[in-house]
Amino acid sequence: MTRTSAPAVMWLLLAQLAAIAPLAPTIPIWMVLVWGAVAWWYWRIVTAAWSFPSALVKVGLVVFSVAGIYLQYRQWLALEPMVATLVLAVILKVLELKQRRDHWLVLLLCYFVVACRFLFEQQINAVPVAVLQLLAILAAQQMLYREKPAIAASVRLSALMLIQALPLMLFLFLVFPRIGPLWSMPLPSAKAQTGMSDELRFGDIAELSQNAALAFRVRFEGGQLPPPSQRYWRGLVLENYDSQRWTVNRMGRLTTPPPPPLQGERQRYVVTLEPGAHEWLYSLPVARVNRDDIRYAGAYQWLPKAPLTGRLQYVVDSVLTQPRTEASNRVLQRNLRLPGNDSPRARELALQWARQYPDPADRVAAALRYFRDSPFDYTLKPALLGRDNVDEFLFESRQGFCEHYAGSFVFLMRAAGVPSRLVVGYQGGEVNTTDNYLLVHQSDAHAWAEVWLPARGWQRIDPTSTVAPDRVALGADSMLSAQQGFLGKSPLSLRRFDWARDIRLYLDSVNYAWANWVLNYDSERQSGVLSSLMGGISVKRMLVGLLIFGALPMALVALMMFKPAWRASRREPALRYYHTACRRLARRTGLRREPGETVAAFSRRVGEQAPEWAPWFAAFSSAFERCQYRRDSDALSQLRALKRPKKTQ
Amino acid sequence: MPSDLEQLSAARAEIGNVLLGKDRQIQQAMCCLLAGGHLLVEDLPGVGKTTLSQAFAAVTGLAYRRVQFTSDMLPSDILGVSVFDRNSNAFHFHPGPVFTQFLLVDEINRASPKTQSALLEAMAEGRVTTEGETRSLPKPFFVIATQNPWFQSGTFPLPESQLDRFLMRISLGYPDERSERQLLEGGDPREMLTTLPSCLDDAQIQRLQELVKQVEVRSSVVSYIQRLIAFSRQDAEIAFGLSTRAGLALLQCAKAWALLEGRDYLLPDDVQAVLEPVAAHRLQPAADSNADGAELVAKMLAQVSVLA
Repeated sequence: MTRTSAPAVMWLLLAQLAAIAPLAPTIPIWMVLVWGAVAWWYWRIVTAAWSFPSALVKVGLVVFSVAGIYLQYRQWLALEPMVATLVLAVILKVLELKQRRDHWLVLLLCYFVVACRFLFEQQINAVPVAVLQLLAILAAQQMLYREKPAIAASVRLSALMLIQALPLMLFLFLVFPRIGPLWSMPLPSAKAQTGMSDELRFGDIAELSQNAALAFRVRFEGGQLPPPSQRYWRGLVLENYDSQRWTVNRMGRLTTPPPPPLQGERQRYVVTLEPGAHEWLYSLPVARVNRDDIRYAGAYQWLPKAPLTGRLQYVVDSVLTQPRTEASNRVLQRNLRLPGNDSPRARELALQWARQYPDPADRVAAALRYFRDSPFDYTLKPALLGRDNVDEFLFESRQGFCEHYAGSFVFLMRAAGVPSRLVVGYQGGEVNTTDNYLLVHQSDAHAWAEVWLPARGWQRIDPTSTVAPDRVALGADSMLSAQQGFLGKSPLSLRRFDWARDIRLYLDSVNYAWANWVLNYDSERQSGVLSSLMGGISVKRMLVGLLIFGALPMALVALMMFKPAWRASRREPALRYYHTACRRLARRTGLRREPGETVAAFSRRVGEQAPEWAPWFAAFSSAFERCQYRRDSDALSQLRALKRPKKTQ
Repeated sequence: MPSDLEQLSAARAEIGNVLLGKDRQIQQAMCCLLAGGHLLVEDLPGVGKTTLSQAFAAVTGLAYRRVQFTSDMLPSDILGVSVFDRNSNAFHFHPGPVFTQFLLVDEINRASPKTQSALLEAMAEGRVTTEGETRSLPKPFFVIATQNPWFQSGTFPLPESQLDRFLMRISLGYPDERSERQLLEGGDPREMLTTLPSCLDDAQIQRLQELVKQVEVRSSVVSYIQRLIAFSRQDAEIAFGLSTRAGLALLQCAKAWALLEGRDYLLPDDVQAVLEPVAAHRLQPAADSNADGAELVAKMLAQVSVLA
C-alpha cells in the first residue's frame, strides 16, 4: 500500500471541491455539506485519528444519499438527478481511498464531473472556470507523485500541460466526428425556461415577462433590421377556445400543407434559440425555413418535425410585406367558434357591433376604439378574474397584460362574426449595436390577434398597442421599467445606466460569437470546414486521418520510452554530438551504424564505403572514443569542434 | 632494456613465425594468459594445438609440462603422490606434473570425471591438497587443455560447470591456403620450435598481469557488458544467460585484449573481440533452438547496442 501524503490528500479534496462547486446551481445544496463532512472524515482517517468506515456504514451512507436525491427530484430519468448521483458517488468514493491508484481514479472522475457541467452551462464564461478546474485537478494529480509539496511548480506544470494539450484539443474539435446523442434526456429546467407553452390563460405571459433570460438572437443578413413595429416574432397560433384558455388546434397540426410561396423582396436572417427543448420556432411572417427537420404546419407556423433540444439555429427567409391569404372555409369556421355561454355582456356588445357595421373592418375599428376610449390599464399585476373572465376584464377590472387585450379582442371579434385567432410569440427585441443583431428576451413575450378581412386576408391587430403604444414602440421592459417591481431585482435593472448596458451588450456579442462559432459547430459545419481545408472529405478518410494524428503523439511517447539511446543522449553531450553527427552523415551518405557496431568499426566502414568523409569521421570517432572511454578532458571540445561533417575531395 | 610490452609483442611475433596464419588465436591465447585464466582448445588433431602450446611455453620462458589424459588416469597421476622413503623412514611427496608454470593437458575429456575434477580444482584454486596437506602451485600457473569434440566415444565430456572454469575456449581451425603452403614448404615446425628464443620470463608475465588490472574502464563499457549479459538472460534462444562470473571473465579478458592492442583503456571493441572465446562455451542454447554458442554470440554482438 502506497500511503498518500497529507498535502496530496489536501489537494485531492480541493480539486474535488473545484470540480463540484460550479455545479452548485444544478445539484442540491446539501451536497456541499456532504462534501464538507466527507472531507473532514477523510482528513481524520489520513491523520490516523479514525479508521475507514465499515461496509455497514458505507451501505447506510449510500441508502441515505440515494433517498436524499429521490426526495429532491422525485424522479430518476432526467439529467439533473443523474448528475447529482454522479457527484454524490464521487464525494463518497473518498471514504474508500486506500491506495494511490484509488486517488488517481477519483481525480479522473473529477474530469468527468467538469465535463458534466457543460450539459447545463455552455456560455463562454464557463470556459475560464473549466480551465481553473482542470489546473486544480492536474496539480492534484502531480501532488500524488511529488515527494515534497511544490504548489507553484505543480501549477506551472499543469498550465504547461494544458497549453500542450491545446493543439490536440483544437484538432479534435475541428475533425472529431459529431455523433448525435444516443438518447436524449430533456433537461427539466430547460423546459421551464422556454417560456411559451401551447396553451394560454390570462396571466401566463405577464408571468413570463418577468423572466429576464434570453430567448433567442437574430442576425439579419445585410445588417438591415426591420422597424420595431414589424418585429412580431410569431410562435404559435392559438385557435381553440374553451371559455378559460386558448389552445393550439392539434388536429390542424397533423396535416402538412405546402408552405406558402414567397412573393416579393426577401429578407434573410438567422435565428439562434437558446438551449432548451424546442417544440415550435419563431419567425417573421411570411416565412420560409429550409431544413429537413423543420416543417410547415399551416397558419404561417414552422415547427420541428420532432422536438429539437439544445441550441438551435435556423435560417429564415421572410417577405414582411406579403399579404397572408391562406384560408379555407374550415379554417374560417374554426376561427369563429366560441363555445359556451360565458361572458354574456361581451357577446352582447359584439353582436351590437355586428348589427351596426356590415363591414368587418369597421367592427375591428369599433373594438379598438372601445379599448382606446375606455380607461384600460396596462399592468403586469392584473386582478384575478373569475368564470366570466372576459366580461370581468372588459367591464370591471380593466387591468391587464397583452394576453388580456388580445384574448378579449379575439373573443369580441368571434362574437361579432369576424374570423380571428390569437398569436403568441415575442415582440420587439433589443438591438445589440456592437455587433448589429437582435436580442429577444423572455420579457419580450407577447400575444396579439389576427383577424380575417375578406379583402385583405389575415391582418395582425395588436390591441395592446392601442392601450399602451409604447409597448410596441419602445419594447416591453423600457416601457414597464417605470412600473413598480418590474425586473427590479434582476441584473437587467442595470439597463437604466448606459455604460452598464454597453458592457452587457458587448459581453452578449462575445457570447453570441461563441455560440455561433463554437457551440454551433455541428457536423454540417464541420464537413464544410474540412472540405474547404482538404477538399471533399469522407467520414472514413477523416477517421483514418484522426487515427494517424492520434497515433502520432502516442508513437512519440513510445519512442521516448523504448529508445534508451535517445534518452541517454540527452544526458551526455558527447553521445548527443555523436548521434547528431551520425544522423548528418546518414543523410549525406546513407551509411548508418548498426546497433552492435562499435565506433571504431563504423569509422572503418565509413572509410571503406564513403572515403570522402573518412578523414573527418575518423578524427571525430577517435575524439568521441577518447571522450567516452577514457579520461580525456580535451576530447569533448575537440568533439564539439568536429561535429559538423566535412568532406574531403 | 626493452619494456615488458615490447617483449610481449616480440613473443607474439615469434609464435606467429611457427604457427602460421593464426595470429588471432595466438592473441586470444596470450590474452587468456595475461588475464590469468586457463585456456581450452577444442579442435581436430593435427591443426597445431600442441605446436601452439609448445611455442607458447618456449617464448614465455615458463616451466612446461605436458600430460596426455587417458581413461585409466588417477588424480594422483597429476597431482603427485607420497612415497615411503626407506632411508629417511618417512613419506616423501613426489609432485605430479601439475606442479609447473605451464601445463598442457591433451584430450582432457578422455580422463574420468574424478581425475578431471582434481585438475580443475587445482586450476581454480591455484593449489593442491593431497593427504591433508596443501601445496601452492607456482606462479604464474597457466593450463592449456585440448579436447576433441567430434569423436566422443569413450570420453567424459566436461559438464557446463567445469567448462566455466576455463576462461576461454578457442578453436584453431585449418590454416588458410597461403599459410598452409608456406608450412608445407618450410619444413617441420617442431624443429623450428627448438630454435625459438624465450622473450619473456615469469616475472615479466606477472608484471603484465598487473598491467591488465590497471587498464582504465569507464562506466559506458561496463554498461555495455551489462547489456550483453542482460540480453543473454532475456533471449528466448538461450536457456541460461551468462553468470556474473562470466561477466567478470569478460571484463578481465577484454582488459587483457586492450593491453595486447597497446591501449591502457578499454573499448567496446575489446569486449566484442573476446566475447566469443569467453562466452560461447558458457551459453546453453534453449531446447528448441538449433543455434550453437558461436551463433548465439554473433546474435548478441549484432543486436546489443554498443552505445547507450
